[in-house]
Amino acid sequence: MRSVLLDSVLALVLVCLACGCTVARTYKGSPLRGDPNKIVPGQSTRTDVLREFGPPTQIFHQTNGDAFVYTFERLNYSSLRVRDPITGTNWFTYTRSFENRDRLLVVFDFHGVVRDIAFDRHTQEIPPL
Amino acid sequence: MKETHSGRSVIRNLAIAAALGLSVTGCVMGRVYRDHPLNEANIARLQRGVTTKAEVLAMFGPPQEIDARELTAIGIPFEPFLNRRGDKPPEERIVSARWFRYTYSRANAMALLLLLFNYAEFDQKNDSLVIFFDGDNRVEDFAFRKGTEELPRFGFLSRRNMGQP
Repeated sequence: MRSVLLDSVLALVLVCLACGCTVARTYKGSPLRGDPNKIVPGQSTRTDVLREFGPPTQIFHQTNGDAFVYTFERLNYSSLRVRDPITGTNWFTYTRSFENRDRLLVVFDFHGVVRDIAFDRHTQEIPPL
Repeated sequence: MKETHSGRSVIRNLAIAAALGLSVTGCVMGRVYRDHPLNEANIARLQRGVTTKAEVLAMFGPPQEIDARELTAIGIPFEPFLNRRGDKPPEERIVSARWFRYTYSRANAMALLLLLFNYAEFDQKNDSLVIFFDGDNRVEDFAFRKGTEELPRFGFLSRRNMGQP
């Protein structure tokens, strides 16, 4: 009986040694601030946009005006690995990675008046594991 | 009686194994600093329509990014767009920087290395100052955000206290 229990414990320890779980989080940039609903196409100006949202992540020139892009990126990564405890060879690896962004695009005309605005918030949808 | 003793021993061994497993841990912390912090006293001195590009360069030094609008490259008439005070013909504007960006980046990394479970976190935030100039090389618009203030010092523990996701 004792031998069986001892073997079980040894087996359990070996399995534990062979398994590994990794969870990682990365955050790039700051969460978007401001309320996109305050920006009115045809009325709001570049000054209004800068005051509301701060400096953009990227500025693009288009043939009919500029475009500001604001971005906040998150990545959730998780993996489960089972490996040989002696040789270190991987028997099984399962990984999942979700990379989502919050994005705000503001398009201006040549006079610096907002022409279009688009907002996308996806970082809250990332599953924890 | 003997079997009970044996059972206790097994539980004790399991507990020791678990304790050993959990105690074989490691912790990694990393800090990344890129460029230098922006002088907020100088940012407070910026005035729209007053501060010149030369003053901006004297206050903040060379920017990390410079951009100019290249109107001549896209083949459209300029007259409708040159209606602001001090606007210059496109030949002059093309050599004139339209906006500067100053950036200070910081990143905090943290990892907990346990026997069965690893957790790692990397967070990068920027202080960013964007300054737009008009045709007279004066500040037309600017915006500043101190993103590094939002950087959690100790990963998820600090993030919860800061009310961040």
